[in-house]
Amino acid sequence: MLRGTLWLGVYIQLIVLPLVVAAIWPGESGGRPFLTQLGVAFGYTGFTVMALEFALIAKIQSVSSAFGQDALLQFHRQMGLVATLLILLHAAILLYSGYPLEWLNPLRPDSPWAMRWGVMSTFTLLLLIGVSSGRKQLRIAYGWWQLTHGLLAELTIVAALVHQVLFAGFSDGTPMRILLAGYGALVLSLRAWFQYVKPYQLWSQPWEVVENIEELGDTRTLVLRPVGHAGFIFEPGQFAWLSTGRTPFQKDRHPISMSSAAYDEPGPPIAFTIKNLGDWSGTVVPALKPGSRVWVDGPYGVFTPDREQGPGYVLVGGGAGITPLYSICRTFAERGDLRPVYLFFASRAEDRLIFRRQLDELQTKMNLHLIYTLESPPAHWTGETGYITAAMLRKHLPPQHHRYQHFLCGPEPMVEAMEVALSEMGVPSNQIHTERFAMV
Amino acid sequence: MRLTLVNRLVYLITLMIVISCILFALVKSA
Repeated sequence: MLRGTLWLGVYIQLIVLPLVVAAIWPGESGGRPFLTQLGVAFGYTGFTVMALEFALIAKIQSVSSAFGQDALLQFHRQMGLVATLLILLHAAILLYSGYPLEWLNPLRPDSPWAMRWGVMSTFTLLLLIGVSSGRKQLRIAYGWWQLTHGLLAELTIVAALVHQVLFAGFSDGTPMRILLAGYGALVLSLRAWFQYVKPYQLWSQPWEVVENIEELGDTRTLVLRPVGHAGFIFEPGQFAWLSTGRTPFQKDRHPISMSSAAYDEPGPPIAFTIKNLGDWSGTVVPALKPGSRVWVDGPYGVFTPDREQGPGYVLVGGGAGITPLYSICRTFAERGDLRPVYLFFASRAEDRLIFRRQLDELQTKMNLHLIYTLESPPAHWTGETGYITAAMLRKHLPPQHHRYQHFLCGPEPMVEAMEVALSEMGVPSNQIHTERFAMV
Repeated sequence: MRLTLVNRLVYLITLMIVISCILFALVKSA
């Protein structure tokens, strides 16, 4: 909590810092009309928000453990939109307050270079937003998207930096120049950290495939063993970024939940369960053989009962969302933890109930109550049918579940619906924890 | 719930940015 507040404080200060510097050392640019100054201010803050976007996804352990990687990604996405809005307002207000509209055409011979860079920065920014929001519709493979996203982001920020320095204005003074150079250095070092330093660290800590198991529901479990190092300790429910290839310098890294039990000592093999989504998960993963190299960057995430103690647990999973919940159950069984666990598992069909046999077995080793529900049940099915509903939760949960911790993992609409249902049933919001799929 | 909190946080930060920009423009305009 304290660390989170500290980081948030730093974040907010870094956003408004250029305005403070510009207010103290205005140079020749003080005293312009209100609208012009407002437009300029939107430009500066739009730039700093964009620059800080790099920090949100740099996977700095201290930041991600304070907020959780999925919350950070959501924040990154939304602040990206805020930055775009600020930049568009910046352009619109300045054009309205008298800057020539023709300057928007970078090909005009009389268009100043400062403007050309500004237009280019806005253009790459809009392209970046378009590619990110329409990735699914445009059918861009995840790996290629990651690569383009990074490059477009770099182009946007560099062009914006050049735009500011060339335009002078408040950026004319030495203090502001130093500050802007600082933001540039921050972005470059964060990119270097993410792109080169982090993979370089992973290079000396390879993992290899021990087993590649085909599971139900078009998923596979990779059992990985650390090679020449101890591996890491994780908490049940966490995930890691996986990449494959001869070196860890790959264009794509995939967030995958652990599905094995968590131990107190590092060393034992760790299982990761991966749903076939068509790209890397559908082509590269099935072809991995025992001995194949895998690079594992983790653990990440705060979706874990180890950080949320309670007298009992309610787990709600949909489809491949069962993976972290299964890891939680296995860990409970392994630890001899006899607190009650109610697991609701929704799936499309009976043959897509991932880990069903293993879950049924776990019932004999721990205090586990299993509730399966199928969208299209076979004729002989006696369990629940359809989506998980508030009525279904009420039917199976004991009255004291209000004191339990609730963990929801699965597709976005399911998680949303369950959050609302549990809140309406009187579960306090700090006892509802979520992990959404398709975050990126 | 954390994501609802994230949404609220984004809203608050945006509001704060806009207010800072307006204050800056007020202080620095003729």
